[in-house]
Amino acid sequence: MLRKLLDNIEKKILSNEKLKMLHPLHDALDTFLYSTNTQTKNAPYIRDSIDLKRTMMIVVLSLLPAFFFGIYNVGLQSPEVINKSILDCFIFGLYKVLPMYLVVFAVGGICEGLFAVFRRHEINEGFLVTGFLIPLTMPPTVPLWMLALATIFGVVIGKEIFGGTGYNIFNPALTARAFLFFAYPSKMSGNIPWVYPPDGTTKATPLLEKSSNIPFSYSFEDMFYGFIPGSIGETSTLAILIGALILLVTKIGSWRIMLGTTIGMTITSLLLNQIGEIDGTGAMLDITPVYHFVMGGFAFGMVFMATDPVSSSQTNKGRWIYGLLIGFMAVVIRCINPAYPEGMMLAILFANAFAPLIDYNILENHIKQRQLKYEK
Amino acid sequence: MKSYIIKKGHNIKIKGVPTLNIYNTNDPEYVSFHPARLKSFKTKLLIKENENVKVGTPLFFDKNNKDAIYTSSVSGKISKIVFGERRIVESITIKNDTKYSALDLNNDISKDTLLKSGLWTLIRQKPFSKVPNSTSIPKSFFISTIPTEPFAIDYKFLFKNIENYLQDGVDVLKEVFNCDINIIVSDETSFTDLRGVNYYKFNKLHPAGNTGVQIHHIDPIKDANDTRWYLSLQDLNRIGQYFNKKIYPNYKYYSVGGNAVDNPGYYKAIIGTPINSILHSFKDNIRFISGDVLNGKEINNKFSIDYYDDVLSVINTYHKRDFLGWLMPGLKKYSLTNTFLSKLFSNNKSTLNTNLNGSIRTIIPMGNWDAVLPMNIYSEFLVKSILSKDIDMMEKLGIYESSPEDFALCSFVCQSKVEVSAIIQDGLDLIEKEI
Repeated sequence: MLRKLLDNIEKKILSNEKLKMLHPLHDALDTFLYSTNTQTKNAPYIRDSIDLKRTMMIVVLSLLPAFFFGIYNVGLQSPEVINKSILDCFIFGLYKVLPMYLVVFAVGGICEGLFAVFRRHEINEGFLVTGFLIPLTMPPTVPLWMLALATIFGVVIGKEIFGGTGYNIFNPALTARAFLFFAYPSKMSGNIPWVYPPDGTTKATPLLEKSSNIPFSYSFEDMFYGFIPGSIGETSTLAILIGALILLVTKIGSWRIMLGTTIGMTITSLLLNQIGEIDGTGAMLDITPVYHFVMGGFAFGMVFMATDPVSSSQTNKGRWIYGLLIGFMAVVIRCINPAYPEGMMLAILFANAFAPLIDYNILENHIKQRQLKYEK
Repeated sequence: MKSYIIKKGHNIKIKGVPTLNIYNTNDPEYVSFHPARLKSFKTKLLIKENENVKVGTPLFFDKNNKDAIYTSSVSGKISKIVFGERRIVESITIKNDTKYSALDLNNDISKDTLLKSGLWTLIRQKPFSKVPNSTSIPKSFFISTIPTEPFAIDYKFLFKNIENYLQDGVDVLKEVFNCDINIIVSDETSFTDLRGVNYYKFNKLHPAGNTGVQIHHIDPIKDANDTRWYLSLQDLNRIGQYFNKKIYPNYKYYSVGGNAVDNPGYYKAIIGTPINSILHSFKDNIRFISGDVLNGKEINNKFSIDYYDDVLSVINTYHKRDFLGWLMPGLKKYSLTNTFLSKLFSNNKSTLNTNLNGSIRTIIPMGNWDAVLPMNIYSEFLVKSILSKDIDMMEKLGIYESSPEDFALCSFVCQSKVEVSAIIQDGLDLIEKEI
């Protein structure tokens, strides 16, 4: 019955010249509900069952552990929740996080729909992931109007002006995050921590404590499991690693990027540890690689942001270099730049900008190798 | 013998694998030739309607390659010539008198005999997969005894059941062209007793059986004039037969497979036999493909199988739309990726059909293409250079080593449904036009 209704609507839309431009909207709903029956027109006449919807669905699936834990943790970290039972924390978290998702998907969906209608292309599934990521990178305290602004910026400037999914230079979700970071710095980092402050009492994130030389009050276990304040999705390294496992098993996330980032971070922080020993200044220099891994947005950025196939390097060798660069930059910004206690977002955006250059060099090298092969 | 291990690729598991039986087909009432289906072919006819022909009578040739003629496989009368738009020759139909009286042809081993008998047109060259010009000289020949595409002929089986003239064929090529003859075998094939050839061993993981992949690994092509010639093992045998027996080999063995065929197997048929004279009962909602399902070309069942194909695939079409298909575990979804549960059963429960299984999207480099392309080629960058018509970049990235059939699996696995192999073909066409 639903099928018939959809078919009838499609007929009406296609038969009317004015309504025709709304076809992308119908198509998005139609192919969301039912798989397509488009037939192959040329060889190969058989095709793999994978499509972009499935790919994006797997990414969303991999985000679910961090998503659910994040909701719970919002409640756990808020002084407003007095009874810290799992259910109470979760319900309070839902009460905070769901409106964020509603805003992001409504605003982002409108942007995507408008672009699809006016530029006459189908609505791309990319926003499913971008929209799912944006709230997870935000502190739960972020005002909803800011979130809406960030989403518009991320979708329009981060993606659509380049031509939509597949053509963007920067990761749209990170672009949205960076927009708020620079446009409203006092709300996003600085001295206001990323927890919901009901009465103005606040608690600093682990990175903030370190960078401000406040006595460190978090255990490694808390940071690994995620019982710490922070952006909604970033706190639980465990939940993020479960997501990483899903991405690696399905080969949707690049293991080269993840491993490269980890190696880059480890080498750089070990080097800085040496300097820290000699110098004796600044607690940030003394953070060991293991702590870097569980603090702040490192794991989240590495697993879900750095591995974005479009804005990352597109050659296998390039993915290594790109990963190493992110790991290096993240630690350098964290430890050496006094302005930003968190460096992961900037490191990834920086590496996004360098990805085409990395690929260019690898391609030039490949071309040279080809010439040598012919001369043999 | 030098061995190459190919690790990237996939052998498609599709139902209807040809059984090891050879069926004879009856003498066809009519045979047909379809020059319009030959790639970049400008047909010049040598016959008119109602003219009488014999086996071996020249029928037509390509204006760009005047000496390479295509000849008749039967004796009888030209019953119909169909022209399409701008007088393209769509088809030539010959009424078969079933006498098979042949032109008196000589079998002196020479280039001239190859050209006049029409056997020259069995040979093709890389790059561009076209019949080589009669004035050009090959660097070497590549002959694969291990085609790996779905429903490919199992030559080990076939040559146990047919007369073997391969040595004659090799001797002819050696004498006429005086160049290296490279035979590609695998561990299981039995063609290792030929004299005067070089052997190379590949494992049978598609597309390792493709000549393009083999050339890439053994002796890569540098530029448009650096040609390697190739022909199928069966056609080598036909050349050998012609020179040994002085009989025009007017028949061929076709492997017929697919989930919509009642009797998948090997069919011996006169060249030009319409498909509906080879197979008789047809189900509904099926599609005929001349060639394999990865790289063939859809065909009307009144037509004959294309000149260079020895596979006929008949598969089901599928029009049902699954509710929330992208969300389901996908126990019966065929996929090379690890995103469906069917992978746990190695796709054994899955069926393949003509559904595109998704919507067309922009290129998103997930690395799926590279996972099935056993060549040192940056496929995503090559495709982008073709889409932007950057010939210089295409050449630098190895377009001359690329053939559409080698990239068929890339189109198969692409989550954005990018027509990788069709784009490669466009790139080659563009370059061919420029030269």
